[in-house]
This record gives sequence, C-alpha cells and structure tokens, in this order.
Amino acid sequence: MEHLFTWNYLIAIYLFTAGLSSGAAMIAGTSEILDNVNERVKRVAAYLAPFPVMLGLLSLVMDLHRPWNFFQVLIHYHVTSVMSWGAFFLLVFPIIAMMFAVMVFMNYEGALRKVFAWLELILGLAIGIYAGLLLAAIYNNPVWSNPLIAFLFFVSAISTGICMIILFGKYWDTLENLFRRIIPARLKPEKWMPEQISLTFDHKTIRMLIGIDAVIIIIELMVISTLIISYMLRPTGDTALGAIITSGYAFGFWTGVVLIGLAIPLLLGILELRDRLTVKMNRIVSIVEPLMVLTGGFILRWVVVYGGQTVYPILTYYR
Amino acid sequence: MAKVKPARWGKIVDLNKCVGCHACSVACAAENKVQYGMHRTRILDHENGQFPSVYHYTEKWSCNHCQNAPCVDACPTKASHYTEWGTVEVKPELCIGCGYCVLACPYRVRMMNDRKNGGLPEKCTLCLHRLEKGEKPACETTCIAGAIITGNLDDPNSEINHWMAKGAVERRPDLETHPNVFIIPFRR
Repeated sequence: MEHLFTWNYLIAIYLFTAGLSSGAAMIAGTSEILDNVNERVKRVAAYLAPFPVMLGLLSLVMDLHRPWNFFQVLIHYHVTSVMSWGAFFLLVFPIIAMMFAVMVFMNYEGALRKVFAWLELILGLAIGIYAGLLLAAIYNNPVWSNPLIAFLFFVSAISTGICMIILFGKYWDTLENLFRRIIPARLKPEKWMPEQISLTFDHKTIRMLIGIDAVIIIIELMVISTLIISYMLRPTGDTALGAIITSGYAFGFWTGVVLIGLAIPLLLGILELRDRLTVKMNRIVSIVEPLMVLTGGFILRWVVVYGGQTVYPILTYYR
Repeated sequence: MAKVKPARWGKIVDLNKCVGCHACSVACAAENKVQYGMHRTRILDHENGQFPSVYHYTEKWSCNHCQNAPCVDACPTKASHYTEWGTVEVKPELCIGCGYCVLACPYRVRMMNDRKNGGLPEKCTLCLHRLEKGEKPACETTCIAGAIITGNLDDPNSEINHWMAKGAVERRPDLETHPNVFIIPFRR
C-alpha cells in the first residue's frame, strides 16, 4: 500500500507554499508596476513573497528518494520535462523575490526596481502555474491530466496569497518590532536600516482585500464546477470523479475545500462587506475568514495529490 | 544471441502459452535482487467475457522499453535514457529519486525503492547484464511454457521476428509510445 503513493503530504505542502509565494509575488509585482496602489499591501506582499516557497523547497528535497543527489536537477536541464522547468523557476524565484524585498525595504528608487517588479510578477506567474502544471502534465492520470487543475491551483494561489497578506498585515507592526529586537545592537541597525512607516492594515485595507478575495473565491467555485463537468465529459471521467468527487477523498473535497475553504469564507466576506456584522464580529471574521481559506487551500492540494494517486490507469490494452 | 550494438532489442510474450505461474516474476527478483515486496515483472489476471462464456488468461507485465517513452520525457535530469540496445534505463548518478517517472509511466511498471535501498526507480532492464554476456534474460530462461522470447528486432533472421509474424501487437497503441516489447494476444 505504501508503494501506491509515490508522492506524499510533503508534495502537498510544497504545492501550498508555492501558491502562497506566487500569490504574494504577483500582488507585490502588480502593485509596484501600477504605482498608485495601497503602499501597505505592496510592502507586506513584497516582504512575505520569498519565504513560504523556501519551506516548500525544503519539503521537496525531503521528499526525494535520493536527496543527496538533488543538485543534479539544478545543473542538468531537460526541455521536455515540466519538472526541469519548475526547478529553474524555483532556483531563480527566491533570489529575485529576496532582492526585491530588500529593494522595497531599503527604499531603493532606481531603474532596476521596475525591472525586478516585472521579474517578480513573471516568476510569480510561472511558479503559480507550474505547481498545477506539474500534475497536469502526467497525461495518463485521469484526475491530474486536466488543464483546469493547473488553473484551479493558480486561482487558489492568488486567493491563499491574499489571505496570508491579510493575516500578517493585521499584526505587521508587532512582528516588525519583534524582528528589530532580534538584531543585535552592536550591528547598529539604526545606521543602515531605514525607519518604516506603520504597515499594520487598517480596517479599510482589510475590507478591500476581503472584497478581492470574495471575487476570486467566486471564480474558484466556477472553476471547480467546470472541472467536474470536464471530468464527466471524458471517457476516464468515472474513475476521476470516483477518486475525489463522489467517493474516495470526497469528504475532504466537499467539506474541506468547498465548505470550509470556499462557501463559508465567501458568506462571511459578503456579510462583512455589506456591514451586517457587529464591530466585534468584524474583528473575528477578519482573522477566521483568511484562516479558513488557507485551510481549504491546503486541503485542496492534499486531496488532489493523494486522490490522483489512488487512480491506476487502465492496465489492459483492449476492452 | 550475437553481440550487436546499436540494435533494437525487444521481447515478445505469447499470452496463449503463458500459464500464469509467476516464475518469471520470482526469477527476475532473484536475478536482480529486487527489494522485498516489489516486482519488476508482474502477472496480471484478465477475466473477460459475458456469462456463461467467460474466460480467463494471464499476462506478464513489465517495462515495455518504449521508443517514445513518457518516463524519459518526464525525467528532469535525463537520468532515464535510451540505451544503444534500444532499451530504457536509469543512470544512478543523475537520478534524484523524485518519483516523477513512476507517475508518468502509463503502464505503471516502475516502483520507487526505499531510501535505504538506494531510492532508485525499480524497472526491467531487459537483463542487459546477461544479454551482454550472450545469455538470455532470467524470465526467458525460467519460463516453463516458453512464452517469452528476447531478440534483436532489427535482425530479420532472428527468432523474435518469426514470432512477430505470428501476430504480435503493441500494448496500448493509442498512447503512441511505440514499445519494443510486444504481446501475442490471447485467442479463445
């Protein structure tokens, strides 16, 4: 039975964290290119972008069966392999994202900043699409070999990225003060570390982000319904539906992904945007809603990674 | 068994002769020291037909050594590669053990070894170490029914090409993988 699952939860963690990084990077890059967007969102997104994917890379290396050999994937490239392209993007992305975060932090205002904003946006797109494409490229798997899986992961990446920004932005000043206290005094941080404006999100910013997230959740629900229809239209559809929609991992899919990850957050978001909640409830919702979306995003990766591997392709060559 | 390189070596399994004794499976595991619980070659049971005219036959299932192999396309480091014998093999020094080839194989003939056993994907090599010495593969020498034949597909006079004329077909031709391993389908 253990040989049935070639990939385990570590791949789900990687897909999730890559989505978080990709969402944050796309928001940071876009708001830098568009200029007059919320400064706080831009800064928080730029600071957060490089870190989740580093955790994901660690879990990827831990998942390898020959981890001491992992550097081979960085020096040998194969054009026909999706994973090889992904290895290149994952090698470049944390470096670029880190440099962009430092540029934003140091208030660097040169020509390179625009270039890095574009690079951040393009690489964020690339690793966001790659996460799903890695699975979609396996053409013999009824669950994975669907372009909509890649699109679903991409939309979910933006959604979870926004939620991560909301959660961190709510407590940013506290976190930043903690970070500043860690740096030893003999390094003289006041000399080289610029004073920052307060980045903790006010209620208006959180409302805006929850509004954007609600729109993306609606798109995600549409993609999921299209995915189910697309499974039904295929000859191998019964196997695919049986693995994640009607049986197998159906409980995780309907409760974890659709209910906890999409339906309830959408409801809470709409209630908050239409001012149907008390001030105290508002404060709770702005923490609970992003947490639920993040949970749903992780369960989505879990269900697709495990559910896809319970489906054996048809072993006989005729009838 | 002439030593010819480069060549297109292949195998034919006659399902009408196969009795499903699993001897090839065991001989392969003994020859190649395969990890306990895993097999490079398996026996599939097929139960077909409508009651009352049902029938049952067995099929030896192992790597098909595709000429257009999905596992070679999927490998990020080119560790999965075509040999000059026309077979598909894994270079241990390049393999990172990501398991992508295991998932990419439409025939599901690869399995991942445990980390303590090297972590390489386990697959049929057509017993190249035996072929190079001029011997037959372990499965062919042990087959009690004589259902397996290995040979050079490029050589028109080889015995394997006489078997080809008996109506050997590819497995899953719709996948367009063009395997070097053929079967003679079961006829009732």
